[in-house]
Amino acid sequence: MEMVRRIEWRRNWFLIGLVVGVLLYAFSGPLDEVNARTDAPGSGLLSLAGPIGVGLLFFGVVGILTLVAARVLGPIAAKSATNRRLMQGLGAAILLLAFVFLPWYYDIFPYATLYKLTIALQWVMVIIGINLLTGYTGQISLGQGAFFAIGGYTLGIASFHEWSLPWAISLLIAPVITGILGFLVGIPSLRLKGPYLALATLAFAVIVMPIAKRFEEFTGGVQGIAMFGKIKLWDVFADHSDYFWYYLSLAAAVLMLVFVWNIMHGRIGRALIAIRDNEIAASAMGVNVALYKTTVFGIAAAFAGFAGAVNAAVIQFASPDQYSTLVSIRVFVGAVIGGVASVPGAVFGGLFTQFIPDIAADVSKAAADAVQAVILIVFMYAMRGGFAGFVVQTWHYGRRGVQLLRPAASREPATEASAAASAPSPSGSE
Amino acid sequence: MTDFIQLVLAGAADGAIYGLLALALVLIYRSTHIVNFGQGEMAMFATYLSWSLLDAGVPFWGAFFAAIVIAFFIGIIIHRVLIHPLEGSPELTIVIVTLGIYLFFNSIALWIYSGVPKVYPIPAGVPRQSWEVGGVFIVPYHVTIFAILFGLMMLLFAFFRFTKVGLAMRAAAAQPLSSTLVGISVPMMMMLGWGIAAAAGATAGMLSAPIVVLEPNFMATILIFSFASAVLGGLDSPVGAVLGGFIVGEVSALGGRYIEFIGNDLQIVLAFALIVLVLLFRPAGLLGRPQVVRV
Repeated sequence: MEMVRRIEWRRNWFLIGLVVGVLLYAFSGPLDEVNARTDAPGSGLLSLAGPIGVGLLFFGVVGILTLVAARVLGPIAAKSATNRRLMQGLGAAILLLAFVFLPWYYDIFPYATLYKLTIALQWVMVIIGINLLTGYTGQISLGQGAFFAIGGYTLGIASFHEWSLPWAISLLIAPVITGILGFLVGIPSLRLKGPYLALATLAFAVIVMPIAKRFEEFTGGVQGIAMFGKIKLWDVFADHSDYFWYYLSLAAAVLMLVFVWNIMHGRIGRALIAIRDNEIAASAMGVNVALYKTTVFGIAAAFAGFAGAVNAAVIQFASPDQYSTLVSIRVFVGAVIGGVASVPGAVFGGLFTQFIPDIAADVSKAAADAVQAVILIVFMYAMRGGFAGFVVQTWHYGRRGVQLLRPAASREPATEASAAASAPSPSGSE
Repeated sequence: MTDFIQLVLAGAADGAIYGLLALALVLIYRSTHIVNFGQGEMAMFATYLSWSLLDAGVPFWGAFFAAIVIAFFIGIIIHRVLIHPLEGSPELTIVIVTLGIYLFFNSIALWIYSGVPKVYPIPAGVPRQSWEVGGVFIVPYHVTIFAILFGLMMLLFAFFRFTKVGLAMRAAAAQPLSSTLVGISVPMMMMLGWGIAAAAGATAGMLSAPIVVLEPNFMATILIFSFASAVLGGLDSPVGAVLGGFIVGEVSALGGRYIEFIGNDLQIVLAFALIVLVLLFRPAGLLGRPQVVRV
């Protein structure tokens, strides 16, 4: 009993989560059978055990891997800046390769299809924009779904419904149009802060679809614009259009990630973070706050617009139904859960946005958003930095030395303690 | 001319509902400085609860007041469990949590009641036949809405003006630190604020359900109109919220009729334009107090 009381819950919750997760997962089979036999209204909750178990398992495994990595690789990375950059590069390369070869092994993951992964990459693009806008510049936008929709409609209208431009050109026009629109929406944002900005952008997200329905001659009204079979790929890709769209989305997402990564690690990035942390001080230091803010709005909107255009090309359809206000909220949730101030977090966020509804649909088709909402709220209490923040924290924890019990009885050797003393950073923006 | 008067009356009825939900937003903003994005969905859920009660055979006004009481406690629980522990957190965190409330109630309602629209009856005892006064048709249900809004306003006014709890709530909102010193429990007052706001929101939901259909997204649009009303009136002024509601109701009714481009579908664009214009040119709203930030 004494042992149990001395366990460091706060830091090691994911280890305990792993155990609980395994147990829950092991018992979820029998529970599902119980569930199948009864049709009482609340019995669906029982089938939550499996997904929750898998979730805990996932965090447990990621946490332990991070701890191991921190113990093994941490000291090497700490030796010199070159080592550190080399390892970061290596990590990025492994991640990239994992995505490049994904079409060959995606079927080992539950729910995954190439089509869904392609769309997940489009969410990644939108979320990178949100990261830049919210995570680094501190402006909350709940209207990215609107730009996504405008991007989709741009492709539909410019190539198929109104004019007949080649679709490739429309794909490039879409981010330009949404970028300019985003820049314009960014102008009011200069005077709005925090919840006011969130409110104005949410209102923007709400009005786009009524407008689309109103201009029926351009947008096809309620029926939308169908593009089935109209998108002609070049002969080389004609038989492998799904691969083509996957790699196009991957390339675009990688480009955007690299772009944002470079921005954040340079002069502009420092200016943006200064604006986020203290706008007045930033402007006193000569940062052109207005220009930066509106430009960032434009960039984020352009990303969302391009993602929307590719999305419409993949699902070959653009209609008011697929662009509800909830899209804006869902991608924002994905961004927050991935880690809103983290470039790699966007990848996790995109996958989350695409696949959590599938996972939650096991519980109930309609409860997908409720599951997201609960996860979101739990994250806000337990892991405000999102998934990326969790990894960074665990890394620092590993570097300082794993501590299963409270210090009073700890016999852990404190070898690494001095080396890691300089490591912790509160923002976790790595 | 009668056409115009008819429009003004219809606009005022809509405006009363926007004003009521805006009042809920303002009550929460005043006490906790939070813009609650989940307000509309909380109201929607309370409306569904009252529909369930009606479906089970409870008489209309019984279901109406029961739903208000339940909403009050839902508001209190949400503040206690979700909002209070986050005190002093960054705005982003709180905005995200209220969005979580939005998503949660929206999807729970969809889960329990499905997306099929339900018919919500007009209150028992209210005649369906319009009264004709000098060529203008007066809808009795609209009169009911005004009466309830007016009654609620009087009630709230008396509560905040003459009761000890009401005064304590105002004090806690205006001067949290000094209020603590004189023995007012500020968290308790905030909790009450959330409860009252949820009850007011539920009233707005149940009053608007007979006009539009009852489905899980029916409050989303009304929420935007209410945001416009609250921002127009000033986010910290209850009277401003109701006044703003009437203005927004009239603007969208008249704008929808006389500006050909707007029509019936784009009234919400007017609300959006109002929000942006007010925030740009008079951020404090009509009756709000301008905020001075110390650097």
